[in-house]
Amino acid sequence: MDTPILTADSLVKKFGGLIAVNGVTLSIKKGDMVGLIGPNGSGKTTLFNILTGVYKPDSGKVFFNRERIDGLQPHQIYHKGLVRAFQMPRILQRMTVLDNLLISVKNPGDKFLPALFKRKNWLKFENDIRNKALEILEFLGLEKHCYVPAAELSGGQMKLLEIARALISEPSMILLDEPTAGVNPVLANDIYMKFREIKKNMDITLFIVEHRIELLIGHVDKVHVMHQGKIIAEGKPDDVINNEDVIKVYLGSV
Amino acid sequence: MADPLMYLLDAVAYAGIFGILSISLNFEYGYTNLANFGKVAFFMIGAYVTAIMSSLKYPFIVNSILAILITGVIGVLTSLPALRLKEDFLAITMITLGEVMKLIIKNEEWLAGGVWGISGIAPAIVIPGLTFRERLIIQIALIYGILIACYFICELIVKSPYGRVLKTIREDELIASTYGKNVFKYKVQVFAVGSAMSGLAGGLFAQYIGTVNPYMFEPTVTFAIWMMVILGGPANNLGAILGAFMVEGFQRSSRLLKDYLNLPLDPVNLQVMLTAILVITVVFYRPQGLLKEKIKPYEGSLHKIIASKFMEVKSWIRRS
Ligand SMILES: Nc1ncnc2c1ncn2[C@@H]1O[C@H](COP(=O)(O)OP(=O)(O)OP(=O)(O)O)[C@@H](O)[C@H]1O
Ligand SMILES: [Mg+2]
Repeated sequence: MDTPILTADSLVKKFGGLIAVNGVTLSIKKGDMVGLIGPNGSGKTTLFNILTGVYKPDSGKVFFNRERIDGLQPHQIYHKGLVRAFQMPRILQRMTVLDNLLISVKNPGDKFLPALFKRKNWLKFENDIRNKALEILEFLGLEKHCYVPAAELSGGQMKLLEIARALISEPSMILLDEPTAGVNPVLANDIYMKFREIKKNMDITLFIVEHRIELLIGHVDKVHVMHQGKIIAEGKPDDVINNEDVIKVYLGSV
Repeated sequence: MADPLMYLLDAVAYAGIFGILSISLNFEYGYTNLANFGKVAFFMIGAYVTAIMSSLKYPFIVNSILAILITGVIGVLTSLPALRLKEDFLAITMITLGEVMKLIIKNEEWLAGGVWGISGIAPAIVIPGLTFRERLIIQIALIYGILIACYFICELIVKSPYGRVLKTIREDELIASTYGKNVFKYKVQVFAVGSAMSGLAGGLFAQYIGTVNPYMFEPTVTFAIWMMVILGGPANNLGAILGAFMVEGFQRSSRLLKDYLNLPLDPVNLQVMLTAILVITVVFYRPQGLLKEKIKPYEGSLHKIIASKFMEVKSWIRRS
Protein backbone atom coordinates (compact mmCIF):
# COMPACT_ATOMS: atom_id res chain seq x y z
CA MET A 1 0.00 0.00 0.00
CA ASP A 2 1.34 3.36 -0.93
CA THR A 3 -1.18 5.59 0.75
CA PRO A 4 0.39 8.12 3.07
CA ILE A 5 -0.98 8.15 6.61
CA LEU A 6 0.65 11.44 7.55
CA THR A 7 1.56 14.32 5.28
CA ALA A 8 3.17 17.61 6.23
CA ASP A 9 3.03 20.38 3.69
CA SER A 10 5.44 23.35 3.94
CA LEU A 11 5.26 23.66 7.71
CA VAL A 12 6.79 26.78 9.25
CA LYS A 13 7.11 27.58 12.93
CA LYS A 14 8.92 30.62 14.30
CA PHE A 15 9.85 31.47 17.87
CA GLY A 16 10.46 35.21 17.76
CA GLY A 17 13.24 35.63 15.24
CA LEU A 18 14.20 31.96 15.28
CA ILE A 19 12.75 29.78 12.55
CA ALA A 20 12.60 26.38 14.25
CA VAL A 21 10.77 24.62 11.43
CA ASN A 22 11.38 26.12 8.03
CA GLY A 23 9.18 24.68 5.30
CA VAL A 24 9.06 21.00 6.17
CA THR A 25 7.27 18.80 3.65
CA LEU A 26 7.18 15.09 4.18
CA SER A 27 4.94 12.12 3.76
CA ILE A 28 4.86 8.90 5.72
CA LYS A 29 3.52 5.68 4.30
CA LYS A 30 0.98 3.67 6.22
CA GLY A 31 2.57 0.78 8.07
CA ASP A 32 6.13 2.08 7.76
CA MET A 33 8.66 2.62 10.49
CA VAL A 34 10.41 5.87 9.72
CA GLY A 35 13.37 7.58 11.38
CA LEU A 36 14.00 11.28 11.84
CA ILE A 37 17.56 12.37 12.55
CA GLY A 38 19.31 15.72 12.79
CA PRO A 39 21.63 17.75 15.00
CA ASN A 40 20.49 19.22 18.29
CA GLY A 41 18.17 22.15 17.78
CA SER A 42 17.36 21.24 14.19
CA GLY A 43 13.63 21.36 14.88
CA LYS A 44 12.67 17.69 15.29
CA THR A 45 10.75 18.10 18.54
CA THR A 46 9.12 21.27 17.28
CA LEU A 47 7.95 19.36 14.20
CA PHE A 48 6.42 16.70 16.48
CA ASN A 49 4.75 19.42 18.51
CA ILE A 50 3.14 20.80 15.37
CA LEU A 51 2.03 17.39 14.16
CA THR A 52 0.30 16.63 17.46
CA GLY A 53 -1.37 20.00 17.93
CA VAL A 54 0.79 21.33 20.76
CA TYR A 55 1.78 24.22 18.48
CA LYS A 56 -0.17 25.72 15.64
CA PRO A 57 2.11 26.16 12.62
CA ASP A 58 2.63 29.70 11.38
CA SER A 59 1.92 28.34 7.92
CA GLY A 60 1.58 24.99 6.21
CA LYS A 61 -0.79 22.07 6.53
CA VAL A 62 -0.88 18.67 8.17
CA PHE A 63 -2.99 15.80 6.85
CA PHE A 64 -3.65 12.60 8.75
CA ASN A 65 -5.47 9.92 6.79
CA ARG A 66 -6.25 12.62 4.23
CA GLU A 67 -7.95 14.74 6.84
CA ARG A 68 -6.57 18.13 7.75
CA ILE A 69 -5.48 18.16 11.41
CA ASP A 70 -3.41 21.32 11.89
CA GLY A 71 -5.33 23.67 14.14
CA LEU A 72 -6.96 20.82 16.02
CA GLN A 73 -6.39 20.43 19.77
CA PRO A 74 -4.09 17.61 20.94
CA HIS A 75 -7.01 15.63 22.37
CA GLN A 76 -8.84 15.79 19.04
CA ILE A 77 -5.75 14.57 17.21
CA TYR A 78 -5.49 11.65 19.61
CA HIS A 79 -8.99 10.57 18.66
CA LYS A 80 -7.98 10.61 14.99
CA GLY A 81 -5.43 7.93 15.92
CA LEU A 82 -2.18 9.88 16.25
CA VAL A 83 -0.28 9.63 19.52
CA ARG A 84 3.14 10.76 20.67
CA ALA A 85 5.70 10.15 23.39
CA PHE A 86 7.80 13.02 24.68
CA GLN A 87 11.56 13.47 24.61
CA MET A 88 11.61 14.61 28.24
CA PRO A 89 9.51 12.03 30.06
CA ARG A 90 6.34 13.66 31.38
CA ILE A 91 5.59 11.42 34.29
CA LEU A 92 2.50 11.78 36.47
CA GLN A 93 4.40 11.91 39.75
CA ARG A 94 1.66 11.36 42.30
CA MET A 95 0.11 8.43 40.46
CA THR A 96 1.11 4.79 40.30
CA VAL A 97 3.21 3.51 37.43
CA LEU A 98 0.23 1.48 36.27
CA ASP A 99 -2.05 4.51 36.31
CA ASN A 100 0.57 6.36 34.27
CA LEU A 101 0.06 3.72 31.61
CA LEU A 102 -3.68 3.30 31.79
CA ILE A 103 -4.35 6.99 31.25
CA SER A 104 -3.47 6.65 27.57
CA VAL A 105 -6.34 4.30 26.78
CA LYS A 106 -9.91 5.26 25.85
CA ASN A 107 -11.88 3.95 28.81
CA PRO A 108 -15.66 3.69 29.13
CA GLY A 109 -15.23 5.01 32.69
CA ASP A 110 -13.65 8.25 31.50
CA LYS A 111 -17.08 9.88 31.46
CA PHE A 112 -18.72 11.19 34.60
CA LEU A 113 -22.01 9.32 34.70
CA PRO A 114 -20.68 5.93 33.55
CA ALA A 115 -17.85 6.30 36.08
CA LEU A 116 -20.48 6.51 38.81
CA PHE A 117 -23.29 4.32 37.59
CA LYS A 118 -21.78 1.82 35.20
CA ARG A 119 -18.97 0.51 37.34
CA LYS A 120 -19.34 -3.09 36.21
CA ASN A 121 -18.89 -1.94 32.68
CA TRP A 122 -15.54 -0.25 33.11
CA LEU A 123 -14.27 -2.56 35.84
CA LYS A 124 -14.30 -5.37 33.29
CA PHE A 125 -12.54 -3.16 30.77
CA GLU A 126 -9.96 -2.19 33.40
CA ASN A 127 -9.22 -5.83 34.11
CA ASP A 128 -8.48 -6.60 30.48
CA ILE A 129 -6.41 -3.54 29.89
CA ARG A 130 -4.47 -4.04 33.12
CA ASN A 131 -3.21 -7.39 31.91
CA LYS A 132 -1.99 -5.81 28.73
CA ALA A 133 -0.29 -3.06 30.72
CA LEU A 134 1.40 -5.58 33.00
CA GLU A 135 2.70 -7.41 29.97
CA ILE A 136 4.35 -4.32 28.58
CA LEU A 137 5.73 -3.35 31.99
CA GLU A 138 7.26 -6.78 32.25
CA PHE A 139 8.87 -6.43 28.86
CA LEU A 140 10.44 -3.16 29.98
CA GLY A 141 11.46 -4.58 33.36
CA LEU A 142 9.10 -2.31 35.29
CA GLU A 143 6.64 -4.90 36.59
CA LYS A 144 8.05 -4.74 40.12
CA HIS A 145 7.27 -1.04 40.22
CA CYS A 146 3.75 -1.39 38.93
CA TYR A 147 2.01 -0.05 42.03
CA VAL A 148 4.55 2.47 43.31
CA PRO A 149 4.23 6.22 42.77
CA ALA A 150 5.87 7.02 39.46
CA ALA A 151 7.96 9.72 41.16
CA GLU A 152 10.08 6.91 42.62
CA LEU A 153 11.31 5.68 39.23
CA SER A 154 14.82 6.40 37.98
CA GLY A 155 15.31 8.71 35.03
CA GLY A 156 15.79 5.84 32.59
CA GLN A 157 12.75 4.02 33.92
CA MET A 158 10.66 7.15 33.46
CA LYS A 159 11.79 7.21 29.86
CA LEU A 160 10.65 3.61 29.45
CA LEU A 161 7.32 4.44 31.02
CA GLU A 162 6.90 7.29 28.57
CA ILE A 163 7.28 4.89 25.63
CA ALA A 164 5.11 2.21 27.19
CA ARG A 165 2.29 4.72 27.60
CA ALA A 166 2.27 5.50 23.90
CA LEU A 167 2.52 1.85 22.87
CA ILE A 168 -0.38 0.66 24.98
CA SER A 169 -2.86 3.13 23.52
CA GLU A 170 -2.77 1.27 20.17
CA PRO A 171 -3.37 4.18 17.83
CA SER A 172 -2.78 3.97 14.10
CA MET A 173 0.41 6.02 14.33
CA ILE A 174 2.92 6.82 17.07
CA LEU A 175 5.52 9.58 17.13
CA LEU A 176 8.43 8.74 19.41
CA ASP A 177 10.93 11.43 20.39
CA GLU A 178 14.26 9.77 21.16
CA PRO A 179 12.64 6.74 22.78
CA THR A 180 15.88 5.11 23.81
CA ALA A 181 17.87 8.11 25.05
CA GLY A 182 19.36 7.11 28.39
CA VAL A 183 18.32 3.48 27.98
CA ASN A 184 21.02 0.80 28.10
CA PRO A 185 22.11 -0.42 24.62
CA VAL A 186 20.86 -3.99 24.96
CA LEU A 187 17.40 -2.89 26.05
CA ALA A 188 17.45 -0.17 23.42
CA ASN A 189 17.88 -2.78 20.72
CA ASP A 190 15.14 -4.91 22.29
CA ILE A 191 12.87 -1.90 22.22
CA TYR A 192 13.46 -1.50 18.52
CA MET A 193 12.64 -5.17 18.06
CA LYS A 194 9.42 -4.48 19.95
CA PHE A 195 8.64 -1.57 17.67
CA ARG A 196 9.01 -3.87 14.68
CA GLU A 197 6.72 -6.39 16.27
CA ILE A 198 4.11 -3.72 16.96
CA LYS A 199 4.43 -2.37 13.46
CA LYS A 200 3.98 -5.81 11.94
CA ASN A 201 1.34 -7.30 14.22
CA MET A 202 -0.82 -4.29 14.83
CA ASP A 203 -0.16 -2.35 11.67
CA ILE A 204 0.93 0.73 13.57
CA THR A 205 2.97 3.34 11.74
CA LEU A 206 5.97 4.64 13.69
CA PHE A 207 7.88 7.88 13.28
CA ILE A 208 10.95 7.99 15.49
CA VAL A 209 13.48 10.66 16.35
CA GLU A 210 16.79 8.98 17.10
CA HIS A 211 20.34 10.23 17.52
CA ARG A 212 22.00 6.83 17.43
CA ILE A 213 21.79 6.05 13.74
CA GLU A 214 23.16 2.56 14.19
CA LEU A 215 19.93 1.73 16.03
CA LEU A 216 17.83 2.79 13.09
CA ILE A 217 19.75 0.87 10.44
CA GLY A 218 18.22 -2.52 9.93
CA HIS A 219 14.99 -1.54 11.64
CA VAL A 220 13.48 1.38 9.79
CA ASP A 221 12.15 1.59 6.24
CA LYS A 222 13.12 5.18 5.67
CA VAL A 223 15.01 8.04 7.28
CA HIS A 224 14.46 11.80 7.08
CA VAL A 225 17.31 14.12 7.97
CA MET A 226 16.59 17.54 9.42
CA HIS A 227 18.96 20.48 9.61
CA GLN A 228 18.15 24.03 10.64
CA GLY A 229 14.44 23.44 10.32
CA LYS A 230 14.59 21.85 6.88
CA ILE A 231 14.52 18.30 5.58
CA ILE A 232 17.87 17.98 3.80
CA ALA A 233 17.71 14.32 2.85
CA GLU A 234 15.41 11.34 2.91
CA GLY A 235 15.58 7.76 1.76
CA LYS A 236 16.74 4.29 2.74
CA PRO A 237 18.96 4.36 5.82
CA ASP A 238 21.98 3.04 3.94
CA ASP A 239 21.67 5.69 1.25
CA VAL A 240 21.13 8.47 3.73
CA ILE A 241 24.24 7.80 5.77
CA ASN A 242 26.31 7.95 2.61
CA ASN A 243 24.74 11.23 1.51
CA GLU A 244 27.38 13.96 1.46
CA ASP A 245 25.20 16.70 2.93
CA VAL A 246 24.22 14.44 5.79
CA ILE A 247 27.81 13.52 6.52
CA LYS A 248 28.74 17.19 6.52
CA VAL A 249 26.06 18.46 8.90
CA TYR A 250 25.47 15.48 11.08
CA LEU A 251 27.57 12.40 10.92
CA GLY A 252 30.80 14.30 10.37
CA SER A 253 30.26 16.40 13.41
CA VAL A 254 29.67 13.46 15.73
CA MET B 1 -21.93 28.99 77.75
CA ALA B 2 -24.94 27.63 79.51
CA ASP B 3 -24.95 24.10 78.22
CA PRO B 4 -21.56 22.75 77.16
CA LEU B 5 -23.18 19.76 75.46
CA MET B 6 -25.24 22.08 73.26
CA TYR B 7 -22.14 23.98 72.36
CA LEU B 8 -20.43 20.74 71.41
CA LEU B 9 -23.37 19.49 69.33
CA ASP B 10 -23.54 22.82 67.57
CA ALA B 11 -19.84 22.52 66.75
CA VAL B 12 -20.39 19.01 65.43
CA ALA B 13 -23.19 20.25 63.16
CA TYR B 14 -21.03 23.07 61.85
CA ALA B 15 -18.13 20.71 61.23
CA GLY B 16 -20.44 18.48 59.22
CA ILE B 17 -21.61 21.32 57.01
CA PHE B 18 -18.06 22.51 56.51
CA GLY B 19 -16.99 18.93 55.89
CA ILE B 20 -19.17 18.98 52.77
CA LEU B 21 -17.57 22.24 51.66
CA SER B 22 -14.13 20.86 52.36
CA ILE B 23 -14.82 17.71 50.34
CA SER B 24 -16.07 19.81 47.46
CA LEU B 25 -12.94 21.96 47.45
CA ASN B 26 -10.84 18.83 47.71
CA PHE B 27 -12.56 17.53 44.60
CA GLU B 28 -11.67 20.73 42.76
CA TYR B 29 -8.26 21.49 44.19
CA GLY B 30 -6.93 18.26 45.66
CA TYR B 31 -7.74 16.09 42.67
CA THR B 32 -7.95 18.47 39.74
CA ASN B 33 -5.71 21.35 40.86
CA LEU B 34 -8.47 23.90 40.32
CA ALA B 35 -7.82 26.68 42.82
CA ASN B 36 -11.35 27.88 43.58
CA PHE B 37 -11.15 30.95 45.80
CA GLY B 38 -14.84 31.63 45.47
CA LYS B 39 -16.20 28.82 47.62
CA VAL B 40 -18.18 31.21 49.79
CA ALA B 41 -20.12 32.48 46.74
CA PHE B 42 -21.64 29.08 46.04
CA PHE B 43 -22.21 28.43 49.72
CA MET B 44 -24.04 31.75 49.95
CA ILE B 45 -26.12 31.20 46.82
CA GLY B 46 -27.18 27.79 48.08
CA ALA B 47 -28.14 29.29 51.44
CA TYR B 48 -30.12 32.12 49.90
CA VAL B 49 -31.92 29.92 47.40
CA THR B 50 -33.01 27.71 50.27
CA ALA B 51 -33.97 30.69 52.40
CA ILE B 52 -36.06 32.32 49.67
CA MET B 53 -37.74 29.09 48.70
CA SER B 54 -38.43 28.27 52.31
CA SER B 55 -40.12 31.63 52.80
CA LEU B 56 -42.35 30.64 49.88
CA LYS B 57 -43.19 27.50 51.89
CA TYR B 58 -41.43 24.98 49.70
CA PRO B 59 -40.05 21.88 51.44
CA PHE B 60 -36.34 21.36 52.04
CA ILE B 61 -35.94 18.65 49.43
CA VAL B 62 -37.23 20.93 46.67
CA ASN B 63 -35.08 23.81 47.92
CA SER B 64 -32.00 21.62 47.98
CA ILE B 65 -32.49 20.35 44.47
CA LEU B 66 -32.96 23.91 43.28
CA ALA B 67 -29.90 25.07 45.23
CA ILE B 68 -27.84 22.28 43.65
CA LEU B 69 -29.04 23.13 40.16
CA ILE B 70 -28.60 26.88 40.46
CA THR B 71 -25.14 26.72 42.00
CA GLY B 72 -24.11 24.05 39.48
CA VAL B 73 -25.21 26.24 36.59
CA ILE B 74 -23.56 29.34 38.05
CA GLY B 75 -20.41 27.26 38.53
CA VAL B 76 -20.44 26.36 34.84
CA LEU B 77 -21.26 29.88 33.67
CA THR B 78 -18.48 31.50 35.70
CA SER B 79 -15.88 28.85 34.97
CA LEU B 80 -16.51 28.74 31.21
CA PRO B 81 -14.82 32.07 30.55
CA ALA B 82 -12.36 31.87 33.45
CA LEU B 83 -11.01 28.44 32.56
CA ARG B 84 -10.21 29.57 29.04
CA LEU B 85 -7.79 32.08 30.51
CA LYS B 86 -4.68 31.39 32.56
CA GLU B 87 -4.88 29.76 35.99
CA ASP B 88 -4.50 33.00 37.94
CA PHE B 89 -7.61 34.39 36.30
CA LEU B 90 -9.71 31.62 37.74
CA ALA B 91 -8.69 32.64 41.24
CA ILE B 92 -9.39 36.31 40.60
CA THR B 93 -12.72 35.61 38.89
CA MET B 94 -13.85 33.46 41.78
CA ILE B 95 -12.86 35.92 44.52
CA THR B 96 -14.69 38.62 42.62
CA LEU B 97 -17.73 36.44 42.15
CA GLY B 98 -18.07 36.05 45.92
CA GLU B 99 -17.87 39.78 46.52
CA VAL B 100 -20.21 40.68 43.66
CA MET B 101 -22.82 38.19 44.81
CA LYS B 102 -22.65 39.61 48.30
CA LEU B 103 -23.05 43.16 46.99
CA ILE B 104 -26.07 42.16 44.93
CA ILE B 105 -27.70 40.55 47.93
CA LYS B 106 -26.91 43.50 50.19
CA ASN B 107 -28.36 46.03 47.76
CA GLU B 108 -31.36 44.28 46.29
CA GLU B 109 -33.66 44.30 49.26
CA TRP B 110 -36.67 43.03 47.29
CA LEU B 111 -34.75 39.86 46.42
CA ALA B 112 -33.22 38.69 49.63
CA GLY B 113 -33.88 41.16 52.41
CA GLY B 114 -30.76 43.28 51.82
CA VAL B 115 -28.47 43.71 54.81
CA TRP B 116 -31.16 42.36 57.11
CA GLY B 117 -31.17 39.01 55.42
CA ILE B 118 -33.94 36.48 55.68
CA SER B 119 -35.04 34.85 58.88
CA GLY B 120 -37.57 32.28 59.91
CA ILE B 121 -36.22 29.60 57.58
CA ALA B 122 -37.96 26.36 58.43
CA PRO B 123 -35.76 23.44 59.42
CA ALA B 124 -35.71 20.50 56.99
CA ILE B 125 -37.33 18.09 59.41
CA VAL B 126 -40.08 19.37 61.67
CA ILE B 127 -41.41 17.02 64.30
CA PRO B 128 -43.68 18.76 66.79
CA GLY B 129 -43.12 18.42 70.50
CA LEU B 130 -39.38 17.81 70.55
CA THR B 131 -36.93 19.48 72.88
CA PHE B 132 -34.24 21.75 71.58
CA ARG B 133 -31.62 19.10 72.16
CA GLU B 134 -33.57 16.45 70.27
CA ARG B 135 -34.04 18.78 67.36
CA LEU B 136 -30.32 19.40 67.32
CA ILE B 137 -29.64 15.69 67.15
CA ILE B 138 -32.03 15.31 64.22
CA GLN B 139 -30.19 18.14 62.48
CA ILE B 140 -26.88 16.39 63.05
CA ALA B 141 -28.27 13.15 61.64
CA LEU B 142 -29.46 14.98 58.53
CA ILE B 143 -26.19 16.86 58.04
CA TYR B 144 -24.05 13.77 58.51
CA GLY B 145 -26.26 11.70 56.24
CA ILE B 146 -25.63 14.21 53.47
CA LEU B 147 -21.94 14.48 54.35
CA ILE B 148 -21.51 10.73 54.11
CA ALA B 149 -23.38 10.64 50.80
CA CYS B 150 -21.13 13.38 49.40
CA TYR B 151 -18.09 11.56 50.69
CA PHE B 152 -18.98 8.33 48.95
CA ILE B 153 -19.93 10.03 45.71
CA CYS B 154 -16.53 11.73 45.66
CA GLU B 155 -14.73 8.52 46.63
CA LEU B 156 -16.44 6.56 43.87
CA ILE B 157 -15.61 9.23 41.33
CA VAL B 158 -11.97 9.72 42.22
CA LYS B 159 -11.49 5.97 42.35
CA SER B 160 -12.62 5.44 38.81
CA PRO B 161 -11.09 6.07 35.39
CA TYR B 162 -12.72 9.50 35.58
CA GLY B 163 -10.75 10.25 38.75
CA ARG B 164 -7.61 9.06 37.05
CA VAL B 165 -8.19 11.65 34.36
CA LEU B 166 -8.66 14.35 37.00
CA LYS B 167 -5.37 13.43 38.66
CA THR B 168 -3.68 13.44 35.27
CA ILE B 169 -4.96 16.97 34.71
CA ARG B 170 -3.57 17.91 38.11
CA GLU B 171 -0.16 16.41 37.33
CA ASP B 172 0.25 17.40 33.69
CA GLU B 173 -2.45 18.89 31.49
CA LEU B 174 -0.46 18.30 28.33
CA ILE B 175 -0.36 14.57 28.99
CA ALA B 176 -4.09 14.53 29.59
CA SER B 177 -4.77 16.22 26.26
CA THR B 178 -2.12 14.21 24.42
CA TYR B 179 -4.02 11.11 25.43
CA GLY B 180 -7.35 12.33 24.25
CA LYS B 181 -8.87 13.92 27.34
CA ASN B 182 -10.68 17.18 26.79
CA VAL B 183 -9.14 19.02 29.74
CA PHE B 184 -11.47 21.99 29.48
CA LYS B 185 -14.58 19.83 29.57
CA TYR B 186 -13.35 17.95 32.62
CA LYS B 187 -12.55 21.15 34.48
CA VAL B 188 -15.99 22.60 33.81
CA GLN B 189 -17.61 19.40 35.03
CA VAL B 190 -15.54 19.35 38.19
CA PHE B 191 -16.45 22.95 38.80
CA ALA B 192 -20.11 22.21 38.33
CA VAL B 193 -20.01 19.31 40.78
CA GLY B 194 -17.93 21.19 43.35
CA SER B 195 -20.21 24.22 43.16
CA ALA B 196 -23.38 22.16 43.40
CA MET B 197 -22.03 20.45 46.49
CA SER B 198 -21.22 23.81 48.05
CA GLY B 199 -24.73 24.97 47.22
CA LEU B 200 -26.17 21.97 48.99
CA ALA B 201 -24.02 22.75 52.03
CA GLY B 202 -25.34 26.32 51.90
CA GLY B 203 -28.91 25.05 51.97
CA LEU B 204 -28.16 22.84 54.95
CA PHE B 205 -26.58 25.78 56.69
CA ALA B 206 -29.60 28.03 56.08
CA GLN B 207 -32.14 25.56 57.41
CA TYR B 208 -29.90 24.78 60.39
CA ILE B 209 -29.30 28.37 61.46
CA GLY B 210 -32.78 29.49 60.46
CA THR B 211 -31.58 32.85 59.22
CA VAL B 212 -29.18 34.20 56.62
CA ASN B 213 -27.63 37.61 56.10
CA PRO B 214 -24.79 38.86 53.90
CA TYR B 215 -22.36 39.18 56.81
CA MET B 216 -22.26 35.42 57.26
CA PHE B 217 -20.55 35.06 53.90
CA GLU B 218 -17.30 36.94 54.17
CA PRO B 219 -14.17 35.81 52.26
CA THR B 220 -12.90 34.36 55.56
CA VAL B 221 -15.32 31.47 54.97
CA THR B 222 -13.45 30.62 51.77
CA PHE B 223 -10.16 30.72 53.61
CA ALA B 224 -11.47 28.51 56.39
CA ILE B 225 -12.45 25.89 53.77
CA TRP B 226 -9.03 26.14 52.19
CA MET B 227 -7.41 25.65 55.58
CA MET B 228 -9.47 22.51 56.12
CA VAL B 229 -8.24 20.98 52.86
CA ILE B 230 -4.63 22.03 53.33
CA LEU B 231 -4.49 20.81 56.91
CA GLY B 232 -6.45 17.61 56.40
CA GLY B 233 -4.55 16.57 53.30
CA PRO B 234 -5.36 17.44 49.70
CA ALA B 235 -6.53 14.51 47.57
CA ASN B 236 -7.71 12.63 50.64
CA ASN B 237 -11.42 12.89 51.35
CA LEU B 238 -11.15 11.60 54.91
CA GLY B 239 -8.45 14.18 55.39
CA ALA B 240 -10.78 16.90 54.14
CA ILE B 241 -13.38 15.92 56.74
CA LEU B 242 -10.73 15.70 59.43
CA GLY B 243 -9.56 19.16 58.43
CA ALA B 244 -13.11 20.48 58.85
CA PHE B 245 -13.23 19.07 62.37
CA MET B 246 -9.85 20.50 63.24
CA VAL B 247 -10.50 24.01 61.99
CA GLU B 248 -13.96 24.13 63.50
CA GLY B 249 -12.75 22.69 66.78
CA PHE B 250 -9.82 25.00 66.85
CA GLN B 251 -11.86 28.11 66.15
CA ARG B 252 -14.40 27.17 68.80
CA SER B 253 -11.90 26.37 71.49
CA SER B 254 -9.92 29.52 70.89
CA ARG B 255 -13.19 31.47 71.13
CA LEU B 256 -13.89 29.76 74.44
CA LEU B 257 -10.50 30.73 75.76
CA LYS B 258 -11.59 34.30 76.15
CA ASP B 259 -14.16 33.30 78.76
CA TYR B 260 -11.60 31.58 80.91
CA LEU B 261 -8.40 33.47 80.33
CA ASN B 262 -7.82 37.08 81.06
CA LEU B 263 -5.64 38.07 78.20
CA PRO B 264 -4.32 41.50 77.47
CA LEU B 265 -5.41 41.22 73.83
CA ASP B 266 -8.57 40.92 71.82
CA PRO B 267 -9.61 37.24 71.63
CA VAL B 268 -10.55 37.64 67.96
CA ASN B 269 -6.99 38.61 67.18
CA LEU B 270 -5.73 35.77 69.28
CA GLN B 271 -7.83 33.36 67.26
CA VAL B 272 -6.41 34.64 64.00
CA MET B 273 -2.88 34.34 65.36
CA LEU B 274 -3.38 30.83 66.69
CA THR B 275 -4.94 29.73 63.40
CA ALA B 276 -1.96 31.07 61.51
CA ILE B 277 0.39 29.21 63.83
CA LEU B 278 -1.57 25.99 63.34
CA VAL B 279 -1.42 26.25 59.55
CA ILE B 280 2.28 27.10 59.53
CA THR B 281 3.09 24.22 61.86
CA VAL B 282 1.24 21.65 59.79
CA VAL B 283 2.50 22.93 56.45
CA PHE B 284 6.03 22.97 57.84
CA TYR B 285 6.09 19.51 59.38
CA ARG B 286 3.57 17.75 57.17
CA PRO B 287 3.33 19.51 53.83
CA GLN B 288 1.00 16.85 52.42
CA GLY B 289 -1.47 17.46 55.24
CA LEU B 290 -2.35 15.22 58.16
CA LEU B 291 -3.70 12.41 56.02
CA LYS B 292 -1.55 11.91 52.97
CA GLU B 293 -2.85 11.10 49.54
CA LYS B 294 -2.88 7.34 49.01
CA ILE B 295 -1.05 6.53 45.83
CA LYS B 296 -2.15 2.99 45.16
CA PRO B 297 -4.47 1.13 42.83
CA TYR B 298 -8.11 1.65 43.63
CA GLU B 299 -10.43 -1.05 44.83
CA GLY B 300 -13.12 -1.87 42.37
CA SER B 301 -16.50 -2.08 44.04
CA LEU B 302 -18.26 0.04 46.62
CA HIS B 303 -18.13 -2.52 49.41
CA LYS B 304 -14.40 -2.90 48.96
CA ILE B 305 -14.01 0.86 49.20
CA ILE B 306 -16.10 0.95 52.36
CA ALA B 307 -14.16 -1.95 53.84
CA SER B 308 -10.81 -0.32 53.16
CA LYS B 309 -12.04 3.00 54.57
CA PHE B 310 -13.16 1.22 57.69
CA MET B 311 -9.73 -0.35 58.15
CA GLU B 312 -8.11 3.00 57.52
CA VAL B 313 -10.16 4.77 60.16
CA LYS B 314 -9.58 1.93 62.59
CA SER B 315 -5.84 1.98 62.22
CA TRP B 316 -5.90 5.73 62.42
CA ILE B 317 -7.83 5.70 65.68
CA ARG B 318 -5.54 3.05 67.08
CA ARG B 319 -2.47 5.11 66.29
CA SER B 320 -3.72 8.31 67.88
N1 LIG C 1 8.93 26.88 23.08
C1 LIG C 1 10.04 27.39 22.47
N2 LIG C 1 10.31 28.70 22.58
C2 LIG C 1 11.39 29.23 21.98
N3 LIG C 1 12.26 28.51 21.25
C3 LIG C 1 12.04 27.20 21.10
C4 LIG C 1 10.92 26.57 21.72
N4 LIG C 1 10.94 25.24 21.40
C5 LIG C 1 12.04 25.08 20.64
N5 LIG C 1 12.69 26.23 20.47
C6 LIG C 1 13.91 26.42 19.65
O1 LIG C 1 13.67 25.83 18.40
C7 LIG C 1 14.84 25.16 17.94
C8 LIG C 1 14.50 23.73 17.61
O2 LIG C 1 14.26 23.04 18.83
P1 LIG C 1 13.82 21.53 18.88
O3 LIG C 1 13.52 21.21 20.28
O4 LIG C 1 12.76 21.32 17.90
O5 LIG C 1 15.16 20.79 18.41
P2 LIG C 1 15.44 19.24 18.32
O6 LIG C 1 15.77 18.95 16.92
O7 LIG C 1 14.37 18.46 18.92
O8 LIG C 1 16.78 19.12 19.17
P3 LIG C 1 17.28 17.95 20.16
O9 LIG C 1 17.88 16.90 19.28
O10 LIG C 1 18.30 18.62 20.99
O11 LIG C 1 16.11 17.47 20.92
C9 LIG C 1 15.88 25.32 19.02
O12 LIG C 1 16.77 26.34 18.65
C10 LIG C 1 15.08 25.70 20.26
O13 LIG C 1 15.83 26.56 21.06
MG1 LIG D 1 14.20 17.26 20.52
